[in-house]
Amino acid sequence: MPLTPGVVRPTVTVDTIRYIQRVIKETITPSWINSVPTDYGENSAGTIKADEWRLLSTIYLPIALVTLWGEQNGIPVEQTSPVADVLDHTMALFQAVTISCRYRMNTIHATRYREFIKKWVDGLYRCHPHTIKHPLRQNVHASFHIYDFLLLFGPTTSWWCFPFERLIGALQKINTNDLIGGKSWSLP
Amino acid sequence: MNSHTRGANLRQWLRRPECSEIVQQFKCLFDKAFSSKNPSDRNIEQNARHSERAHYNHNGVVFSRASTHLGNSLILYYPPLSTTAIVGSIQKIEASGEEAFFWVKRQAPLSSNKYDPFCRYTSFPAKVYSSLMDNGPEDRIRPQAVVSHIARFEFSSERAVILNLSRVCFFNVLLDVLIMKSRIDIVIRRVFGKLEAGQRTDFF
Repeated sequence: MPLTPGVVRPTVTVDTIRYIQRVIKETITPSWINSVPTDYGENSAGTIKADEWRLLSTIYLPIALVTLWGEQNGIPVEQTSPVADVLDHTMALFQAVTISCRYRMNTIHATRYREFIKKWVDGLYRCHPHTIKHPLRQNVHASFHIYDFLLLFGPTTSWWCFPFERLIGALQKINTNDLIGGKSWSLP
Repeated sequence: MNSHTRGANLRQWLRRPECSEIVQQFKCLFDKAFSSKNPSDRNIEQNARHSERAHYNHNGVVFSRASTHLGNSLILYYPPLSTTAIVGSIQKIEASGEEAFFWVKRQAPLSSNKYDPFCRYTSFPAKVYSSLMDNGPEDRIRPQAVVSHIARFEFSSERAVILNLSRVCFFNVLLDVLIMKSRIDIVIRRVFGKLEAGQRTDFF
């Protein structure tokens, strides 16, 4: 389906990004929650790392989008509005991430995870038509296999790669002279 | 590495009987001048002197009173004689010896004429509350009654989003009810011998 410029109205505006930044700044969290860039959405924020995406999609973005699009002064928005459809679609992804980050797993949670991912994939072209032009990515396919891993190996915390990322970070901090081998005690 | 080895040698030498008297005297003076850096020793001293604390570490999780660290004071907990978890903020921490008590002020609930937009998303553990605290008496609870920390965002002058940060327990009990139902189903099928061989079971 060819896209006509001007027909597709952007869902996320500068004001939306400003509101998300306000949520990141003003949300009160315990000290064990790591920080995320308060200038999210700007170049100065740098590359968002995997752990920061996890916190954004399980804490800050859902709070921001639901309070922004899900109600108006305590009154629910019309469910037929395009914004409500986009919100439901986005929340399907956030709920899938929330379930996959749980410390307890069973077939009910795993099935709900797969249902949310399917809902998100099914609604992607409807809610965000510009993605039709994008090349297909393997991440979407891989996300369905996480369902199998949840059943086979249990909660993601027991098999995700964050411990190895931390090990890589620790190894990168070690000063070396780029020479393989050698003996440290040879130095005076 | 060298300084660590030297330190270990010095400590070993101080414990040997042939260590000279003057060095032993220096060690006594050193211990008096610089107090122990062991945190458990300091905790014991503080416990003996003060019953009120700014922080309390329970199973590796730090809880604080609201005046010290608001984020560490916001908790989801079971009030005394109740099986329903509610949200509150720790106002005071009493600790004496091994025992500790939190004095918690409750978060006021959302007024009935306001809509909670998070009720549509049952797998996302957030709820809208009033941004004000309850005027009722504070609850005195043990640390074991705490479910988890929470995150709070005040999105209007009178309403706040409360997000349960527990990765185990959700606000809504729908999933737990479903899990219980599936367990009962499995037990019934096992009892009546209808469980098929090789059928996949849940991870509990």
